[in-house]
Amino acid sequence: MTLFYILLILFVGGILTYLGAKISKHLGHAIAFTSSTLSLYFHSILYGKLYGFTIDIGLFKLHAVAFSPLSWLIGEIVVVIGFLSILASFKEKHSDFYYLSVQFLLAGMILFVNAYDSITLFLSLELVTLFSFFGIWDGGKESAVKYLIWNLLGAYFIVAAIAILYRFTGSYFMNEVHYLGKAQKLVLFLLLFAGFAVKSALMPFHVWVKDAYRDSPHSFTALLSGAVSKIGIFGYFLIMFYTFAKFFIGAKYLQLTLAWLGGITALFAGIYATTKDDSKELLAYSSISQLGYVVAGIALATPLSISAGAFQFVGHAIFETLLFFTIASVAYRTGTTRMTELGGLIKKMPVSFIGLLFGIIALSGIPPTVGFPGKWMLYESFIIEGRILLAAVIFTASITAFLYSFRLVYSIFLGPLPSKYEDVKEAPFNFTFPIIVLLIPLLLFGVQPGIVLYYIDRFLSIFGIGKIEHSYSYIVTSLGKFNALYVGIVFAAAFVFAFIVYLLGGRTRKVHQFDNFTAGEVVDESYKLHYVDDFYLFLEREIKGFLKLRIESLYDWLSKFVDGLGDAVRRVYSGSHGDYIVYLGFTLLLLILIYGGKLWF
Amino acid sequence: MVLKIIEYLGIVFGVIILGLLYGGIARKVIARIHRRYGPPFYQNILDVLKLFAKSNEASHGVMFNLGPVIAFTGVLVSLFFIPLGSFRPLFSFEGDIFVVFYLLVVAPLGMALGAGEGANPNATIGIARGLTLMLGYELVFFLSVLAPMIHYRTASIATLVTVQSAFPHWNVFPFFISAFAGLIALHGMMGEKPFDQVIAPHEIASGPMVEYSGKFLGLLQLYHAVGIIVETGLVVDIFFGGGNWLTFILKTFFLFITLVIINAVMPRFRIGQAVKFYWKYPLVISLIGLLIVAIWR
Amino acid sequence: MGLFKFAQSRSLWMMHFCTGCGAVEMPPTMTSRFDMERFGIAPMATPRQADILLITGYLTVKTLKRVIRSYEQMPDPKYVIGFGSCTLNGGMYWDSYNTIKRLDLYLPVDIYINGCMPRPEAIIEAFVKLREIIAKGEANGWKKYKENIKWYKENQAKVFDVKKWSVIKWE
Repeated sequence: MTLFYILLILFVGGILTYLGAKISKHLGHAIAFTSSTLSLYFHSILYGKLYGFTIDIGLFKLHAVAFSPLSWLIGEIVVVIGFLSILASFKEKHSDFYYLSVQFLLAGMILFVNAYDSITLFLSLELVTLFSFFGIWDGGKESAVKYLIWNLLGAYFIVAAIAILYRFTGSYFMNEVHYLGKAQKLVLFLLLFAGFAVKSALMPFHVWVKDAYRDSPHSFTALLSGAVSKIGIFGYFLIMFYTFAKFFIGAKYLQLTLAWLGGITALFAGIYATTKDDSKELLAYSSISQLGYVVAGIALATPLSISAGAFQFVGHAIFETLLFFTIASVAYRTGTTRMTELGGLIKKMPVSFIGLLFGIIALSGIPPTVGFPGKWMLYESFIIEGRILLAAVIFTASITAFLYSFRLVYSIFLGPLPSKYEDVKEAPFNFTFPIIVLLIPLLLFGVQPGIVLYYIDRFLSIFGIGKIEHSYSYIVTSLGKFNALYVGIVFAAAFVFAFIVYLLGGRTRKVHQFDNFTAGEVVDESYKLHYVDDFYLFLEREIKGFLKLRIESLYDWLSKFVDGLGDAVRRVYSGSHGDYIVYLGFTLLLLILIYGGKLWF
Repeated sequence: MVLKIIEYLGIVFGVIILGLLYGGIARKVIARIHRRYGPPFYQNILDVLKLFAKSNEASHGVMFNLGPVIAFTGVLVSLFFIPLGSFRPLFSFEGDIFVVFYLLVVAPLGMALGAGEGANPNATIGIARGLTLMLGYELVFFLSVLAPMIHYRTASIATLVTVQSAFPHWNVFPFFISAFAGLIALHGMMGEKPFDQVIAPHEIASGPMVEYSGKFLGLLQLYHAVGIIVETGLVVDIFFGGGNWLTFILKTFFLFITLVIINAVMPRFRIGQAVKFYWKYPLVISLIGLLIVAIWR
Repeated sequence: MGLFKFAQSRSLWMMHFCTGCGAVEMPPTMTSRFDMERFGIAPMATPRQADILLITGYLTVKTLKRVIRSYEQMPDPKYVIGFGSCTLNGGMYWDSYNTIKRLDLYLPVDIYINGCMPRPEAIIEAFVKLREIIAKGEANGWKKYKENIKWYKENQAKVFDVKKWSVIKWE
């Protein structure tokens, strides 16, 4: 019943926060903080246990069971990131309703990963959609509406699947689909997959991400990208390895198609990210790209590739959230997220810089951070399965990650400091605490990937999938070995050696940023010395044709088409009596022709 | 244990001196192509010593100072995971080609971060070009290196070296198409003309090195020197058979001098041309090489 | 250490800043016929990377501002070579209103090469001489600049706005 209490704490806490905030802002903050801390504590102590509840709401029963350790893992990610996000949001301006939405959102997500029947699944999904809509609404109304429409589309796919399931099996439970035909299973699978794909931003359902991430409140974007997208991933695990397990393991072509979908998402989103000028749009596309890796790994359905996808999404939760918190702290102090207006903040905000630096090192997948073991296992699994082209696509996507992550760190933290930011100080504790907290697993899981892998082993065995060979420090496949601890140790030793060589040099003098090689000229701020606009223009010129085809244009065409169709139909109602008499006359004529003389009798 | 550390330090020093000597001999080769005498072959060692003897260098901040240190660290770490021919004193069994690919990115990233804090637009343009070029050659290199790895079903470089034991068994003979694409990619990776857009002394005032002086420049020279050995060593291990330490040195030397000779007679591509080039012929060549391996199986 | 002195004398990087008409003699010196690279001298793009500043010919006040700025951006030890008669006594432009007549008043010069313009052979002889005095430890122009900075800055202040164009602090 602990699960039920967690949900109760969040629901009641949300309502109390709303009421308390009406009395005093600090009271509201205190209640929100208490409820998120309690939910974090209670969820963490559920580690390793089997838990769940059933409640009867008269019309039907709601079943929630943590039927695999994956539920606990994602639930824990949700409560941790929720706690950090609420902590960070205290400093930002929010309506009173925002804290209620966040807590209801957390409750919805926890319910989703523990849902055991399809009604609970759908109910919690709607909760998540509705309250994340309210969260985004706080920052930008148009993006929130776009988000809502796309997620409702996904929800309709899911409800259609649930309805078909009920019609054929007569039950709402998610594990009773053995006695359906192959075609029926495929349709259900695809409908559910499409529904979850909207949530986890897979192409071609990713169009809501850019605007929603950019316009939502900054600490909320961390929650969106770190936790809400994991709901979609959980959905994938559910349908691929639990509900439709036998069907999916045998469907090689379906696996390949979905894996390629993930690969294409990763590559295209990575390329689009290099062209963006706003840091949150860049990170939005980066998030889409990284989730593409996860889908590519999971869809290939071998123990190694599933472990790779699972590890990758744990890593994604850590580093993408870290990146968004860093942007939140920069935006809090400078008031902008556009990279063309920022610069040189490393001297003023060193902790945020360290956070962003390690975040992008993990994003690029450089050992020994948490981003690398997942990528390594992904490549190994693709090559073992013979999917060379897919490995090449994922590799290219990974290189685009280097491009856009360097642009991000350079535009915000390096380069010359504009004089309007001379007085900027480091972000307050609310922002630096999440950054520092997230750095710890980033490095720890990178050097000891086994900690996460042993946990992944447990839910893989529940799903009936084999194990991979690994220990706390190393992973072995039939192709080769990766010892993360050695890499970490050698890295530290090489750094010490290089630093000693560095110390052998002479004394340096600190110079001002405008004491620079400018061909002997004296420069000041009126010279544009910060290379931020059109950073990769030479690349964009070469791929101009490619950048022109975007899924948004397809959707634009579709909406224009429907609009035109509606416009044409509207003209039937012309409002003039003569037209209507003609319509009547034609209808009578048609009836006479069809029924002949029978109309009169 | 202490003996092991001394052995590792010895290898690192050996590789540094070797890399500097290679660079010096390369300058002599270029000079002879230009029909002049050129500096003595140990010139690069003298350059590095002179740079460390400088004082009063300009520094723009902590990240600026650490940039060259991280660059040097990155290339040293990659060194430890590449077998130096059959002489495998380091950790080449504990990491395979994918680990090396990603470790090789640490060094340019460190230099890029340091040069970024220097607040000079020339530096950033150089780095942006370098990253764009990486988009070109990395994929070609990846695909060309995959061909022998798929055939022998291993991603471990050390295992590949063991498989090519003697002269007729070098991988370059059965996989010459992939090796050709790999060599073109190596040319870009080493930053030799026509792919030296990153440094481009006359266009962007030496790119990322523009604000670095004294010991920082010395560290960057050391990074280049070890980088020569690491990158050519990687290609020699995969395609040219590794060999004992003497043959390994000879093979990397001849491979490097071939690249230098091409460098001496070519001008520089525009960055857009360079990336487009890589995505045309070398990519097709490496894909053909992979196709052949796939059909063979 | 002797090894470092030897390295410093055998590896001299000059800044590729062509200040005056004497710079036309640099390309022949750098290229195949006279080949200065065999002495370890190479042209470098920025003052941060250079050891030698070559004042090739006459210096207008406009160029002097930028030369002083570049000189102060160079790391120590650094050497100045006065190239051509104009740096000694004004040379051909001895009666011009716009040029500097004595370089010595504004920058510490280690070696002068006379001639208008000096041929590449003379330039190479000067480089060899510079190499010798560096190895002996006598090329201390940069120390002189530091010790007598006030005097140099007074002279510079007579011809341009020192506060705007200087990089180092002297008071």
